[in-house]
Amino acid sequence: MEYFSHYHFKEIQDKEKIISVIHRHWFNILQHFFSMILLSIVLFAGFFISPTMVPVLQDKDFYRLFLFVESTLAVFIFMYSFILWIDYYFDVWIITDIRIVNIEQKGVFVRQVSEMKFERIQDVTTKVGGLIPTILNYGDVIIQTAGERERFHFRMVPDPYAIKDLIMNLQKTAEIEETNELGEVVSRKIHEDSF
Amino acid sequence: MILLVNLFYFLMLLIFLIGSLVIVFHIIRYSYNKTATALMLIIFICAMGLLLMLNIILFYSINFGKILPSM
Repeated sequence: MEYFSHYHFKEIQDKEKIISVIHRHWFNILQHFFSMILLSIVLFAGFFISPTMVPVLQDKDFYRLFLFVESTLAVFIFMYSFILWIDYYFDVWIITDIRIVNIEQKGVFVRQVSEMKFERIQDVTTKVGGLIPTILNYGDVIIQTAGERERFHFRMVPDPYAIKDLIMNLQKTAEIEETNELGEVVSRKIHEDSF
Repeated sequence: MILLVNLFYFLMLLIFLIGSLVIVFHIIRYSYNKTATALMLIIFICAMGLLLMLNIILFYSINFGKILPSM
C-alpha cells in the first residue's frame, strides 16, 4: 500500500488509502503505437535512401526542402504519439479501501470521472477472450451495481482474475463493516428504548 | 507566393504550439504522480522544443525563390 503513497487524485478523501492503480495492459499501447513506430521507420529509412534514389535531391535546395518535410512529419508523429500516451496513461482505475474511481480519458478533450462504493457492487465478471489476451493474461473486468443499469468496465487490464478477487474481498469487507455498523445502531436503539 | 508559404508555415507552427500547450496542460492538471509528471514534462518539452527548433531552422534555410519557380 505504501507503494501508492506518492499517488494522489483531486477527489481523494481524508484517511482514504489507495490499494491499486490500474492502467490498460502494455500490449494495448503497443497496438496503438505500432502505426507510429512503422511511420518512424519509413521516415528514418527515407532519410538515408531517398537522396540516392531521387536525383532531384542532389540539388542542395531541394535536399533542404526534403529535410524540412521529414522534420515536419517527425513533429506530427511525436505529437500524435504523446496524445496516444496521454490517452493511455490518464485512463486509469484507482481502487481505494472504500471505493473504485474510474478516470476515463478519451483523446485530449474528453475526460470522465466516476466512482463506485463497494457496498453497491452486485456482481463482478471477468472476460479474457482471444489467443494473445490469454497468453499475456489481460482482459476486461465488468462490475455491475445493484438494480441499476450502471456498471464499471475495466478495459484490457492486466491480470483481471486478481483484480476481480481484490474487488470481491474489498466488497466482503465493506459488507461486514456495514453489517457491524447496522448492528451497533440497532443495539444502541434497543439500549435507549429500554431505559 | 513566398508570402503565402510563410503564412501557411506560421499557421502550422501555431497548430503545433497550441497542441503542445494542450498536452502540457493535461500533464500538469490531471497527473496523479509527481515523478511521472516531471518525467513526462522533461521528455515532451525537450524533444518537442528540439524538433520545433530544427523545423524552423530548416524552413528558413530553404531558398523558396529558387525552388518555387522550378516547381
